[in-house]
Amino acid sequence: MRDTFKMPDLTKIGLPPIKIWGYPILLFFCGITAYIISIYDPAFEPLFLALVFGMVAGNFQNGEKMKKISEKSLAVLLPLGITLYGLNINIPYLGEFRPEIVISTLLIASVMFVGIVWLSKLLKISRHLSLLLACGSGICGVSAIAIVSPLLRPKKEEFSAAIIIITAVGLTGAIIYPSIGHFTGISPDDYAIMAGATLHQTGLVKISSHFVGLEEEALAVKGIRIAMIALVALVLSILYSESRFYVPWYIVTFLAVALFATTYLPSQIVEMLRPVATVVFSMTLAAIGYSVDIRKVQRVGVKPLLISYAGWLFGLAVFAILLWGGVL
Amino acid sequence: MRIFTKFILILFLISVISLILGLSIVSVTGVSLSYITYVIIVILSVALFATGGILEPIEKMKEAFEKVVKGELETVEVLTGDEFKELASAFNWMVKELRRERDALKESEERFRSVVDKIDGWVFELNRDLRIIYTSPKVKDYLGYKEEEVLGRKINEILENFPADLIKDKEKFEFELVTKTKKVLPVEVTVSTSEDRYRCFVRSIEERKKIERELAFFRGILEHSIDAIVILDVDSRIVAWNRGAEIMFGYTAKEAIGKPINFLLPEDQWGQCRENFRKAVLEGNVKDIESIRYTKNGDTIIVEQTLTSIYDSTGELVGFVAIMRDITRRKKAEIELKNTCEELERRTREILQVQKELYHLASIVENSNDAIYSVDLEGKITSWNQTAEKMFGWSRDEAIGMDSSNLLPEEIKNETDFILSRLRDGDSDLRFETRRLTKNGDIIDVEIAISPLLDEVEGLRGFSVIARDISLKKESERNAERRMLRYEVERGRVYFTDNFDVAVGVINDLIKCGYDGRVISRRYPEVIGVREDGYLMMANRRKGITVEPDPAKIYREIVRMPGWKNAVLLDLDYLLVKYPFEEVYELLQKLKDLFFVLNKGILVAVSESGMLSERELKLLKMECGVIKSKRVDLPEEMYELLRFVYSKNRFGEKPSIKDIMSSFNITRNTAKKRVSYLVERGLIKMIKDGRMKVLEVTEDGREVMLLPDTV
Repeated sequence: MRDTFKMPDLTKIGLPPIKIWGYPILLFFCGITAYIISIYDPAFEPLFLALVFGMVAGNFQNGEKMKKISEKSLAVLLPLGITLYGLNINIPYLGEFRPEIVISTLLIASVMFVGIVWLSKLLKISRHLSLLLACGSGICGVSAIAIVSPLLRPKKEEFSAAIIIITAVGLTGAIIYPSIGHFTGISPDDYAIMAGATLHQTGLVKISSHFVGLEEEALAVKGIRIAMIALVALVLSILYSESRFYVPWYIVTFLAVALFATTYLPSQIVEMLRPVATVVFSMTLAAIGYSVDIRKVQRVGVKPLLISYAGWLFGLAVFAILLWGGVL
Repeated sequence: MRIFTKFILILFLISVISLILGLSIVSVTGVSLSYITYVIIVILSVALFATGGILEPIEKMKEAFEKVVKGELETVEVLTGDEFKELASAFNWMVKELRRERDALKESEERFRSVVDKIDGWVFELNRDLRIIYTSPKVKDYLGYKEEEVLGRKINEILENFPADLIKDKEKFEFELVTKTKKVLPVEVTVSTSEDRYRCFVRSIEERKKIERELAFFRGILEHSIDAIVILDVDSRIVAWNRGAEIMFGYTAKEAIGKPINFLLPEDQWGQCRENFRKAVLEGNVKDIESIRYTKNGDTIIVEQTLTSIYDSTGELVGFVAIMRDITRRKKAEIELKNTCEELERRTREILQVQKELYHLASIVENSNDAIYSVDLEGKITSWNQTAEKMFGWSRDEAIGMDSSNLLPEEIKNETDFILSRLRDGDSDLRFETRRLTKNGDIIDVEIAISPLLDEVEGLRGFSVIARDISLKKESERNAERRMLRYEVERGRVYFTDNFDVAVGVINDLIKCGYDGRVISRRYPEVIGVREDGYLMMANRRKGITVEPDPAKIYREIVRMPGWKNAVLLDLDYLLVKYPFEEVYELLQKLKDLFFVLNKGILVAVSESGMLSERELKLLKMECGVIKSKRVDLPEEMYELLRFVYSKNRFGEKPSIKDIMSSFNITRNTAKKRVSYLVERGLIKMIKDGRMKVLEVTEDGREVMLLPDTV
């Protein structure tokens, strides 16, 4: 072997690794911090924040051993987080909406989904990343990515990159939508539909629709998209299962919890349990972020970001066509 | 797209997003910390991935370089289409080159390792401190140590007697290494020196040493063998010529090597030589070839040769070895032995033949009609056949060892001594008629033949006697002679007369009756009136048929006379002149014994010179018989004719007139007259036998032949 010179080991630069007992505390800290921040500003998705916190914590420590522990902890945290996150899913009653709104929302979400998949294939983006981006853009942002990721089994850096990208694109939309609403002069109802049908995350829909004061309407439209997670999760679990027609148990429990919380569980209890579910799922994302190398996340490049922007723009374009076409 | 362009575009993208976001915030929502935070997050995210897109190929290249450094030669795929792609292409080319180089090196290493592992030898390297820095796995086979046991240790710690000083000076040397198990192994060490190390190749030469010892052994055998050992190449040219060959053929090795083997052979054997080589190639060897060879000095020798093919390790014929042994002496000895054996066989056959003949003869002897016996020098009978038993009456058991004189009548008791003396004098064939005494006391006439029994060592050891009973024959002969003779004389007797005419008449009469007439006298034959063929002139000078007037010589002359129908006339007158009467008398006594014993015939001694006194005459007449004549009334010629016819009739013959004419040399008329004279007196008769007339004596004629004697 050649040993003419030695490369510097960058992984050895940073803080000393935490003790093993500090790891759950770290995760909980990340989760609870993210949740608290999201309470103050719904634009900051707690899952995104927990991931970022986990990444920061993991990349400034030389804890290879702890990273392995965090990877193993996902085997428990991820199904648990997904199952509990079902409490955050509020399956809407489609009869409350006008049919053209439901169809338009589904069409926009589908165009965004298909557009991103198509562009990813065109630009040779990995299939897992493209599906994560498509789910994140078309359904419900970071939470959709987190739910379908166990089904697709993407690389951690792809998963992390998808969450960051979807958050960045969503934030971009959240910043720009008021200006669009202001300069185009569309009606508040249409604005609410646009925000609910095209923005990625529930928090961002809430913030952007706050501009016109129709938060509930926008969130209701967004609920249509969120409800798609059940269908998409089922389809993807079947498509990517190792055996035919196999659906992982945590997807089943997730759907069951979502259904149960929407229908039978009292809303007070649901509201009480939702923080717990959010914190647990945030801890899961923090654990993922803890074990991922930010440089590997970085290496996915700018293409997925551009594709996500393009997908979002596709959605906006379809909405514009539908709006100006008189469908809405 | 070049990196520069990418940077421009990324910066442009970030700027546009920032501008749009900034304008959107300022124009619609106003400056809000939350929104600024949103913008920062967006810009950071865009910047993160934008820089990631730029840094990705750099990271890939870095990782690829790190892998190269670690030895993992993997290519890198960079599809950015910018300078990084070109760099990656160059890197990939470098990796391919390194791979090729590494594969070549690996192949070389594997080849080297394979060679080192498979080679029959131990390879090790020493540094300048003579520490082992590399060893091949064969160290286990050679020293019994594992590789890790020797690595890093000084060579003299492993091999105490390793000549470390030699590796600096010599490229090759030999020494005997001692293994872990204290086994001594002769090895050859080949040293190649580089800047900082000595690379040593140790090879066992145990087998080579063994082969060298064996070679020395075989060379010794080859050189000191008395056999000629010649090694030939495939063209039958001599390539090796040992000392034995030099001694055998006279050529030195220098003279012989390079020449074809044919130069030792006669040209007519070249074909056989080629055939031998062909057989050696086909069968591996040809043994016991006996052949002729020429030596340097031209001598011819016979050799026994073994021709063997020599093959190399691949089984290819490389030559022949001919081992030749000089068997000239042996062959000569064999030939002599063969001749001796043949001679022995011939003699054995002869002996067997002789033995067979002896058996045959013994059978003949045993079954002969003649009595056959043998007598030793002491006169003892040593053999006795059946006929002898019958003839003499003694059985074989009685006769063997018996004194042979028991067979002799009293008057011839000294016959045995006489025979022995005759045999000692050289006589080998004594035949005579004599008499023998039988067990019951009868005397029989026998005709005996004496043969000496000789021993190769001792000479005469006895004699054999073949005796035939001739009593009847003798009796009839005596009767016939008595009838036919005109004088009363008897065979085996010596007579004396003082009348020369009577003596001559007796002799002539005996001659006519079939005796061999012999005359020993000083008188001339024509004076005596006898034939010259039986005449011996008594004279001192030897000329023609003479005999010296010496009693001993005369005795010897008479003894040598053959047969037993001798009519001898001995004229004593000249002898009496030369010798005194006593010697003459003694001669007559000896002759009397001789004639009596050997029955040699009739001797008539005569003396009419008047030289003898009365006493001497009386002595002679007493010693010898007196001659009497028959009285016949017939003229002498008629009596002769009657006796002729009578003698012929005795043997069954009947003479004719013609026979008488030729026998008496007379004319037909004379013959007829004489025949008529006898026929008229009834003494003979003429009878017809076919067309011829023959004569036969009548009974009266026979009576005349038996007329009484007259004085």
